[in-house]
Amino acid sequence: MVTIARDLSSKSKTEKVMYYLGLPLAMMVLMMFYSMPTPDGITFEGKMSLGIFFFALILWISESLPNYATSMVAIALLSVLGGWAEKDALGTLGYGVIWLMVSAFIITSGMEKSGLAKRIALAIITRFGKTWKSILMSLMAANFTIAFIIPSTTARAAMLLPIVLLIAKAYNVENGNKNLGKLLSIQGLQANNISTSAIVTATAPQILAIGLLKEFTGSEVSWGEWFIASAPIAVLTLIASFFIGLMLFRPKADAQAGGDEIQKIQQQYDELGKVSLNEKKAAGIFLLTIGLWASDKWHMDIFGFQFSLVMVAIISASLFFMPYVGILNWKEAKIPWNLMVFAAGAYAAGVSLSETGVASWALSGLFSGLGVQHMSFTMLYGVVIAISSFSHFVFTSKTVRTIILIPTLVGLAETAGVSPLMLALPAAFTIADTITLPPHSKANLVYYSTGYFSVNNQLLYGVLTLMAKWCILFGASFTWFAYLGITA
Amino acid sequence: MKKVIAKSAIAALSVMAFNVTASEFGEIGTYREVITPVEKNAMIEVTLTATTADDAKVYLPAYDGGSIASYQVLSGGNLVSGPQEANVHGRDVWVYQFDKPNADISLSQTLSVNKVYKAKKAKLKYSHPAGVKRVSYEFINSSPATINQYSGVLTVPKGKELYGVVTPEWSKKKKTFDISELNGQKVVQVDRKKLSAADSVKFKIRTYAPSAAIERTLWALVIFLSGALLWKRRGILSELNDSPTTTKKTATN
Repeated sequence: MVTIARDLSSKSKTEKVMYYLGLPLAMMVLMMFYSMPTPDGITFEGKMSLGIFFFALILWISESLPNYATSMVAIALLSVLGGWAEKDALGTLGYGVIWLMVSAFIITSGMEKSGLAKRIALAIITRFGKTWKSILMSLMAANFTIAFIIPSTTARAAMLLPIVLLIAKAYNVENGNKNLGKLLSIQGLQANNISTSAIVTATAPQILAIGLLKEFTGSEVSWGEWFIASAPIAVLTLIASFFIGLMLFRPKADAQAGGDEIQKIQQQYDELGKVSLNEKKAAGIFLLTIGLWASDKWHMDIFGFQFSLVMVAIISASLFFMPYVGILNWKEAKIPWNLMVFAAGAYAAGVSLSETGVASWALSGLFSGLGVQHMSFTMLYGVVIAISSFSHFVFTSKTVRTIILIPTLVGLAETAGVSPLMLALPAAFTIADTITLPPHSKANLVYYSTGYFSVNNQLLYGVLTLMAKWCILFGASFTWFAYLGITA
Repeated sequence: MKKVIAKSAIAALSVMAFNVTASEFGEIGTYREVITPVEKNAMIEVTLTATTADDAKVYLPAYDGGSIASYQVLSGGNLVSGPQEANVHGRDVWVYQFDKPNADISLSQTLSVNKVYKAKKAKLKYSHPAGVKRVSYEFINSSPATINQYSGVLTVPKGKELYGVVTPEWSKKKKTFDISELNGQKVVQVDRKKLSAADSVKFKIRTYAPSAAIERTLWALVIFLSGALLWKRRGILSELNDSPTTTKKTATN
């Protein structure tokens, strides 16, 4: 007999209790929705889609069921209980965002197999990492650079971890230079997440966010538009993070690297040898991808065809399988289908709320009480950005947070009488702000595994960096974003 | 070139004809109808404001299978005769004769219309709850006068849930209908501007009456499953004291 059981040994008391109560609670909540009279202003379909959304949300938070299983159950319940038409609920698996995620993972597999990403990271470290300050800065630069190439925070963290460990050893972190260890690891995870916010394709939930923005507002945000708007914010936040780190955990002034370890990194880089054919192929495909993503406004003029974000990714991913050009076979493409099923279910639960009119009904009811119509845009913007940035405390999944946040903010903007993009797009730039606790992203857990910092270290540093980012985003609302026409 | 001239002439004549028609048949400013079920039929309460035509008449839309049960002039001119069924431009209308031409009046009328609430099985594909019905209603402006502001309120029958609104379709960009409560019953309201002669407004809603037996069965199933799960996983509670004191979590993406 096959036993489907979860390993709860690493879970806290609260998490165990949530796991224990999650499924019964979710079922009870769903039944309460089914039994209660439909509130004024919505239909039975709307009531059930709301009930199923809460059902899924309880299960995603409590992890009483695996997240992909919850998604599958949610899709089934939406159809059977009348929350959303079966055709529509099933159709979410065919949404562009799912194809984009599949393509992104194929591209990741290709980049990893070729070794190109590792070469770029090592090149930055060996070229610029002569002092501990320059090491920290070069790690940030490496994080930022490979975010273009590897669309996964976890993959990038895993890629840079051995390098961080080598540097830490070089600077004798474990014997007396602990602050540098804290900086290397916490700044590493912060740089990972903050760099992610600059590049829409650097993590799947951001792609999901622009999908939702298009779905709810009809406005398409291109790769280039996202980058131009968000990259300066990310760079300024990285600079703030650097100085906050120095303020909190200043390493010993005389910290010196042992020559052996730095040499080991150099040696590792040298051992890569000449750029291999596979790396050249991967670089070619990726440059083509970046080029197409960045030039989307001029496709019609240049090619006579328009390539969407999704189609560029699909074409690039398929090139990795092409004879002579590609370097992958299907078995080497590591596509986490559980994530796709989870995303499809999360999408169905979220989009059904909008399609049945429940999201706008709930929000107009909620925010009419708060009086957002009478709130100035500046105040509203400040509150929204703070909530968006720190909402990652509640959700351990960026995807779920995105699914909830974007439709909510679109509804809020409509209620407040401002353009949805004015609130939802800057808020989308905070999706990757998952830097305050280890469980907030897998990349955090990778760095946490070094043992160089405590939860409290990360929390304090993370909160301060996010406050700095809030100030930068707030300032951008009447400077950079206003210039770009986002908040004007 | 000849074709262009011919088309231009037709267009000009059409505009002229419309203007003549507009002054000839007066104008309907607001037209609000509340449709409530009386078994399978509907009682439609209409409240309207209008301007009488040159001949002091008001031309109002007639309803297929409908008859006027009562009417009342609320303000404006005096009614000379009224409502007579007539045919204008091939369409049936109700004609009210007032004493003054081009006068602003307001009146209300109650009509009984057959088979509006004759529910049919909803056309739902694939998985869905049993017992979903559809109710369709179409208002046609059979009057030759344009209705400047139309407001239709379709009441959901008592004891039924409003399962969904099929027509008008829900739109993210603009509000196509409103759901609210009127006299303790759920209603779907549709508003339209400039409803010209022969224009129509369609309502298609789905109603649903959840079965009490199914509800009880589902509750029983959920309670049983919840109890079984809590019992089966009870070991987790006994392990609570052995847990680490940190709040380490696992990321899910």
